[in-house]
Amino acid sequence: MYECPNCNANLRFDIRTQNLLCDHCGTQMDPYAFQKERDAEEVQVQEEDYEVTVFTCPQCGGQLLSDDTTAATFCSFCGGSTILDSRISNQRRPAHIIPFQKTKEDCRKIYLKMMRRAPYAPTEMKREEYIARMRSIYIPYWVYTGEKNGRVKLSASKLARHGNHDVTQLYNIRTNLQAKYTGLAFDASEGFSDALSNAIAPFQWREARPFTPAYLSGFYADVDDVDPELYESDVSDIVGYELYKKIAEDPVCTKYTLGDVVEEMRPNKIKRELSMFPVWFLTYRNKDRVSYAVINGQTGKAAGDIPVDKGKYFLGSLLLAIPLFILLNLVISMQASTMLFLTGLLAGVCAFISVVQKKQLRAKEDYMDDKGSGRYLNLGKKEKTVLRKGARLDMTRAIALCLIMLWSIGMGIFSGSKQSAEMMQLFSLVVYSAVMLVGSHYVRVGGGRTEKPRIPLSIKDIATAIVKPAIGGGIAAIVLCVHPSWSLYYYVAAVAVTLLIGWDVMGIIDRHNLLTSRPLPQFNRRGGEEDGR
Amino acid sequence: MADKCTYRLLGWLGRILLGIVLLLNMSGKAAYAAEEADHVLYRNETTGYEVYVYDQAQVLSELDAERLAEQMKELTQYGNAVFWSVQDNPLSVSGYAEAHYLNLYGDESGILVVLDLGKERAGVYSTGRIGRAFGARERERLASSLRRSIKNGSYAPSAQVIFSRALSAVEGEFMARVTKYACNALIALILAMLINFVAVNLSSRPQWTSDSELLEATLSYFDNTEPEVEFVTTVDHYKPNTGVQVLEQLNKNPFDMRRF
Repeated sequence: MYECPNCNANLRFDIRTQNLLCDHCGTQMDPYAFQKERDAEEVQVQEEDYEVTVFTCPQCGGQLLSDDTTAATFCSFCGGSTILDSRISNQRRPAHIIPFQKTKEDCRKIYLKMMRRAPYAPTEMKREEYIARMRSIYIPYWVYTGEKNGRVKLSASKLARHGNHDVTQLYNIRTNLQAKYTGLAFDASEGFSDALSNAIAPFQWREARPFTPAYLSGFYADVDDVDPELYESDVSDIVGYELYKKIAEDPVCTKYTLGDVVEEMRPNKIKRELSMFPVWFLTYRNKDRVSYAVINGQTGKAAGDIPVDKGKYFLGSLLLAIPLFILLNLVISMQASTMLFLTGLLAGVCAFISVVQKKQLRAKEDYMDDKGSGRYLNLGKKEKTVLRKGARLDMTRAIALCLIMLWSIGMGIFSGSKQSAEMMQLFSLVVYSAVMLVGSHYVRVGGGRTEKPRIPLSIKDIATAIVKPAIGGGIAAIVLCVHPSWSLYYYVAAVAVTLLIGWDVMGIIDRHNLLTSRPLPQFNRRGGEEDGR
Repeated sequence: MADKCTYRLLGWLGRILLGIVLLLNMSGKAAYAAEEADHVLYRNETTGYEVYVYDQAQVLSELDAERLAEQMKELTQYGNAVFWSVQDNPLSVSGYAEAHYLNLYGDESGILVVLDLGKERAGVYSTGRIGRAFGARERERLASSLRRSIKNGSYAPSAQVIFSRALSAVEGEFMARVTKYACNALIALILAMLINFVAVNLSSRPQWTSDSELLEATLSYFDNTEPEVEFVTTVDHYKPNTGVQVLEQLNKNPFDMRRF
């Protein structure tokens, strides 16, 4: 609690002036010049179900309950800003801080600009009274310095063709390196997801200042609860690959093909320190799920998980469907069997999306996009960034599957006017469906810069994901196989298939909303999973 | 004087000849019209469409013809119904059907079913409202499926199947068209939903910040000495082109076909 020397009112850090400001008398003070006199006194309380620390507000004496992750908060009784000094003392004291540069009004405009790209977001998320609940929080970050000093040896080669011979000349390239990168930051708060913290990165390290608690006055602040060694491999990857690129661009090295030398380029010293970075938070709650919108308090970069309102989505789709309907009726003329074939294609697309979403949900349940969650399961065997062999193979497979898919679609559509067109379309549909299933198996999901593993889904998971499109595809295949002479049969089958697909699309939107939200955090609980399991 | 009489005589002769020719022409047309009228078994008073049966190959008994005509009468609500049988013809069956229908009724709505005994095939041509409901693909498919029946001599039943199917198609045309529009509407809606989903997915998920962007925000220092290149060794790998490989194999053992 910081008191004004003139009138004893609460001093808070003012973003515009970048000084401590008294709202009562207008006094401004340099945060570094201010000497704090009183702490919030603390008492540890242990109950049967939970453990909590009780602080006493130095202004009004009111009791503040706080869990272990809070460093600064506001008194519920008098509203006074209170810094819980014991949380940021000694070992846990941050070395630097980047003060807030963006005010609440700035962030309100940034947020509204972001929401313009989300026309199907719930209306509540765009209301002023909702936006007014935006909170400013200092989040702890581990800031790393990667250094590489010394001599490195790189393998290189030159390939030439002489007649029927491939002649490879092997070389060693040696050079002395001096490199240092300071300011690679990763969030040190378990409750702040890595995906969101990365989305609003980077923070400009050159604007960091030595830490003083006065900067926290008027804001919420968390303390670190993530192991600092967790991100050292990421720092090693980033610096190693950057050094590799710089060496490869050297005029001498461009004449050669460098081998896989990233291991050689990894930093030989990694230092870390704790810092506080400014983030604006906005929380949207829908039943037992919560979505976050976050804004970088220094640069104004915004990111968020934005759910979809199904009613608005359906209405928007109806409006978009009107010109498509006109196009289908007036411009495009299709045989009845081709129309049924088209609905089979759409069923395949829905099945593909459903399987990929199931994988993404599995990855989310395993916290694969959140290394700092404390529940991260490293399913990948190695953490490499350069020349991931698996990724290259995936690209080759993807291209091959795409070509087969395009061939099958073209064959099905352009056979419409030929004899035995239905048999060709049935064959095309079978090939296309196989490509979609195989393709969805090879899709890699999971966030971060670790090697994205292929998430294996059980047969039950796949079956529940594709049951509706599969039934639709089956109906299309059966009718094409029977090839009745009356076109009405094809149209009725196509209607049935599209109704099934429409039902599946609603499920896709539900899964999308699950992916753009998280279970409600339970900070005061001890034991068990965060989602109540 | 003699010349004037000759010219007058010739003039009268010419007039008489012209009259005879005109008389013959009119009687021929009348004969043709009369012949046509013989084959028109029914005329729908409301729509003006006709049932026309020309059994040139004499494949229908009297009873068959009556039954067929009864069935064909129902089609006259929507167009002319023509049955034609022929021993053989130089055209394709469907081309023959089209040519004769156009000759009889032009572009009026209707259907012509021809049984070609020589080719043992049926040919169907339809146009107008009946043509829209009973399209070319369906006609071809149906005609092909009846080939065996025609080969076995089931002429009347085959023709009945075709007329019956045409009637079902035209009566169900409205339903088919409504269903087609409904289908188009649903497909448009599904396409719109999928397009919207792609847009939502692109805009509503946090974007990953690249490593190069992270590094731009750091304080960095990089320096290196000029790289020293040291030659190690040369590796020679014999790897001929595919054509050369084949030639070498042939040179080694020209009679060994297993390698192919």
